[in-house]
Amino acid sequence: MNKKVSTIIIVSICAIFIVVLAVGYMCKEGIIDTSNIFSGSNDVTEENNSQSESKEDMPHSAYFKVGAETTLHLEENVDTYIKYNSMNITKKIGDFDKCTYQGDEKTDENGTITNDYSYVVCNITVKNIGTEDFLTTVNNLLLFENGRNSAYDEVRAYNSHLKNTVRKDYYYANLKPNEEHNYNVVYVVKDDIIKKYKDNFLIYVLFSGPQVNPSDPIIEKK
Amino acid sequence: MKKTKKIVALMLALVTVITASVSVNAVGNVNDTIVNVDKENNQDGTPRRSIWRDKRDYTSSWCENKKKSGGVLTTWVERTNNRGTSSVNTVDRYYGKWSYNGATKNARKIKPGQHYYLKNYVKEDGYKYATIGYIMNKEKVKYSFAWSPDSV
Repeated sequence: MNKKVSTIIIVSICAIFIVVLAVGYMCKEGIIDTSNIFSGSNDVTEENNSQSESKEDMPHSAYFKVGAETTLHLEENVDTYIKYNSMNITKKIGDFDKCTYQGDEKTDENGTITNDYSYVVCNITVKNIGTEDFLTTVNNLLLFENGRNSAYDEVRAYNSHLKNTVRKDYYYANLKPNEEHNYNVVYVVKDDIIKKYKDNFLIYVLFSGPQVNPSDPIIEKK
Repeated sequence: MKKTKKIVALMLALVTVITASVSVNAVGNVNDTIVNVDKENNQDGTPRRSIWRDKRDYTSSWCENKKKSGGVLTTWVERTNNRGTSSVNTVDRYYGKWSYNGATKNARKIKPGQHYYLKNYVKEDGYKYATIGYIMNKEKVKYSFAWSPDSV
């Protein structure tokens, strides 16, 4: 009798576990729509329509050459000083995290690239010189390989020093007024692309704006 | 008795297989990108797309319309093998085709404060990069949303 009861319990637990996994999978794949079941209050915030000082001369986003610096107007009360300090090409991990996922590059246990790719490490200073916080992500810094209309690479890591690089907010950058941040932003690029185009590399800063815009200005080193 | 033991063994094996298949889903490109659009850049209600990012696995993409957004966000997934493309014919087949009103089917409306997993066939169809296509349903207000090409 006891054996029978324990068998039933085990089978029941397994069945419940399977059902929970299956429901979770279906929710994740959108088969079951839970977006309205668990939503909190729909607190849509109305925009403050008060007019701010005109910032038409300041771009929202721009392409930077090495050594270039300028101020971007991200939104009302948020202007950000950006300086693209330097670019370094290496196969070894430096002052930056290991990449958040395995791409086409091959690496050893130390993160050193062993095939025909290299790390392109761009050192960038960012400072919010406005009066309000601004939440963005470091992976809004794109590496354009050969001019504004070319392909671009996304950030693969940076010097967060966080233990967990798989977290969703890994790239989050909460830019508070007067705080200066210095980022080593890392891209993984094929060696033949680096050899051919490295002098044309541009960093595109898209902290604010709906999408990549080839008409945005290129900021040159003064 | 023997039959009972067989059933128990089978259930345990099934649980192990399902758990393994879920966890074998190696790390995808799950970190968020945040898109911020100031009201000055939200004037025309036309379809946009965020940056192209590596699509590493077969999971859904993910999108959250942050609470501070001023309105509903209509979203879908797009795909390409050419990050430099300017073509609009990049809508994932689950969402139909591009139009001036956004993707022609299955586009998801996400209210401020909500998130959604976005089904897609990007990896299945052999594409390397994915992004979120979107329309800001309310003009002249600020929007902020986070998204990732893969999900956990």
